[in-house]
Amino acid sequence: MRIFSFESKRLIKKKTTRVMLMLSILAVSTIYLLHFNLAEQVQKKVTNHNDFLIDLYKQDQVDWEIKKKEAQRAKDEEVLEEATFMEEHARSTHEHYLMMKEAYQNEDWKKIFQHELKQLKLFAYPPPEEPADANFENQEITNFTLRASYEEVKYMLENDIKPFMQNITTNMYLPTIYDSFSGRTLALWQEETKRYGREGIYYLYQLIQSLYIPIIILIGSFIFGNTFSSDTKKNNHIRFYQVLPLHRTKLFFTKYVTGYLGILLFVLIMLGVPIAVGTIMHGFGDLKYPILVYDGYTTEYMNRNIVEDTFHFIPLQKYLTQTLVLAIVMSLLIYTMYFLVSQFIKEPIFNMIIVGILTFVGTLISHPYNPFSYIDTDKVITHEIQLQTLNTDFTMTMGIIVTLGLSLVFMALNYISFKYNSRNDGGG
Amino acid sequence: MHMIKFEWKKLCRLRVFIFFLLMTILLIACLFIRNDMQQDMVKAERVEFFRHHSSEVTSQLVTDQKRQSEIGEGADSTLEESIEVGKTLYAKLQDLITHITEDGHMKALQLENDVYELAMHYQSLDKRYPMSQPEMEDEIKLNNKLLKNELPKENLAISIQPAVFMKQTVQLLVNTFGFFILLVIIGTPIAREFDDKTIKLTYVLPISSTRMVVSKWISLVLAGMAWLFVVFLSAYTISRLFGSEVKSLFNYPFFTKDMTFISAGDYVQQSIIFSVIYLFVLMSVFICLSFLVKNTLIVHIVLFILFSINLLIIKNGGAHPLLPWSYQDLDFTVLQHEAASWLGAIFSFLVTIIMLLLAIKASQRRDYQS
Repeated sequence: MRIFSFESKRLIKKKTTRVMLMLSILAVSTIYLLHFNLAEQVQKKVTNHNDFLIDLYKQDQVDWEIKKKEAQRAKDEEVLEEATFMEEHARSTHEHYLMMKEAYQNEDWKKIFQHELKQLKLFAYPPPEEPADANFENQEITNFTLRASYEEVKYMLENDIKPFMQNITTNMYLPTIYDSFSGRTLALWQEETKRYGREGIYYLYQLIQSLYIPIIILIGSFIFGNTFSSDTKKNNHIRFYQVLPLHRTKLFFTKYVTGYLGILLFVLIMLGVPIAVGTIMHGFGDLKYPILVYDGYTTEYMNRNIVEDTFHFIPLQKYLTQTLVLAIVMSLLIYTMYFLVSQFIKEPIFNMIIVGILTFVGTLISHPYNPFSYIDTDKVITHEIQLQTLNTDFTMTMGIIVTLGLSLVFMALNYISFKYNSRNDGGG
Repeated sequence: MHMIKFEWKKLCRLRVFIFFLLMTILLIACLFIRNDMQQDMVKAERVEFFRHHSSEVTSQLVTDQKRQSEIGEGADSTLEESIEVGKTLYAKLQDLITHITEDGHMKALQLENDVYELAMHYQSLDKRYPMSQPEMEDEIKLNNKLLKNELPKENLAISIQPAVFMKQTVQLLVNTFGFFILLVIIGTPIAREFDDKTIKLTYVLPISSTRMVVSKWISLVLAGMAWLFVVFLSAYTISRLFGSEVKSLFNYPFFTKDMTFISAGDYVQQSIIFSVIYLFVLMSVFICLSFLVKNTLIVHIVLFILFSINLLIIKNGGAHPLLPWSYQDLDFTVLQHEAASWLGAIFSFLVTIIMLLLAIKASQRRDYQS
């Protein structure tokens, strides 16, 4: 225990550790500011779009008013009737957009959700006698996406949830894996449906979707994973331990556990920072926010699946808990790999790059028994990986088991390598 | 000169740098083999793409014909026109599929244009075609350019045509990831001098701070240029020796962000020039950071953070040819506009000079802590 507390103190008291921790926190905060700026731009875009429509229908209303007066003077009943109808239509549309603009500016999401639901229902669940296809730039929006978008809005309306910032000049579409857009339409769809979370947990959720977890684990390994290699390769502090009445195995596990706990602490801090920054800037967010989870596939034919496949939503709270569990397991695997590589290469940055490349190459081989397939925790929790590979064996439990299994193998290799090296050094 | 030679020798003797150069060649060779092996798949995908369009047209045609038989001929002129256009479009699509299958490249380009023109007309009759009008207009523009240059259409992600393959290599290697690894490999021996305290040995030499900083910077730039040389030369050599043989291959047009064209020749030329200029900036930033921070681990983490944030900015539309750091994603920035941004080059030189001056200033502060 004493050696463990000594190692921990060494790590924490290191100036480099503290500086790197501060820099990581600063980086996440800077990225938040960029993200926030993009969200503001989207907000402006939507407001400008509303303004444009308000002006357009106002002008339309004025034009029809003039035509109506002219028809009254000319006593042309037919034109008068048309002008009256069109003027009324322009007036009501103008009022609608005024209301939408006001609701958007005041973040009165209930009104916006109600409007969205009305529009989305027509396409998501069209009556059998009136089949309707929704298109985006002439390419079809799949029925699955329409249903998911509708249900998401409905869920948020029922639970009074604040949404992410999104370009809602068309509809509040939720992009899904069933989308099959191509070319320029795909780029436009991505731009149109891109969401920006300004609130603390929403921002964290978006970071997780961008492989934040493996990145911070890798940085954590870079900062805390050199407990052994720096003593052997860099400054030979291992000689100091060799003269102490310590068992070799005990020394190995102490160094190993200290580094791992350091990484865990780092991961927890780095998960907390986005929440803290977001909360300070724009509130905490709603833990009930719906996360789409795919229920798997019905057939192997995508055309049928888009209509028949089902889905459900889980609250963000559950999603984050599952992410945390996977992050803990994943950090063990990446750290163990890093520890192993660091026994052979003294430069931490090279270790980081090698582990990064190995992890990336590992993700290219999708197999339920490949632990690297579970690196993207978002795809595992939402079952997206099951649809990508058409294999329902990819589950969280399986991910945890195989990751722990491989971690144990690497741990054994670490120990063997340590024993071998210390024997060659003639100490221990 | 002796100082540069000394620094350069230090780098060349690094096994990891030599390994990195060899890995680069191996990676480019593997990429080429993969592209070559997937050529049949490219053709199959293209055929599948138009088959999907064809089935979309067929399903509408069947419905329209059924309706026409219900209401009788001559009752709805728009419906009749839709059927007529649909039939022609279907026939053209079949013809196009045949020419793609039989490698009739030039004829296929002409037919593709005919298909898109008919498809736009079909859409104007309130019918569906799974491409938007701007998309089809872009394709027609590209096909016309290719017809003019007598070049077959290439899949930009899987091509063995030398000019297109060079673009793919630039996109995959001369980017954030490539520059970061290069910098870490060639920069670490310099940053490490502060950790190992060997910098003290350099300090006792009768050389000025300016000479010391500039020598280190030049040696880093030279090493970076060696890597770029390997990238461009191996991509060109491999694809030229084993790739497809076409005339005037460097006339192949690439779309810019403005939807104008940049020829492959101009693209490669600009890529070479701006990657070297970016090396100037990058190495000066690295030297400046090393002399300011004097700790390898912190220098590396700062670089990692800077690269990550810059990548995020670029991906979110913050890239501009005027900004020196935008060239971190070379392909993306070169393809912003047709013309090269020489103002961007001047700005890059200015940033380089500022960074080097800062490094010189920092190197004069020699009471560093280890």
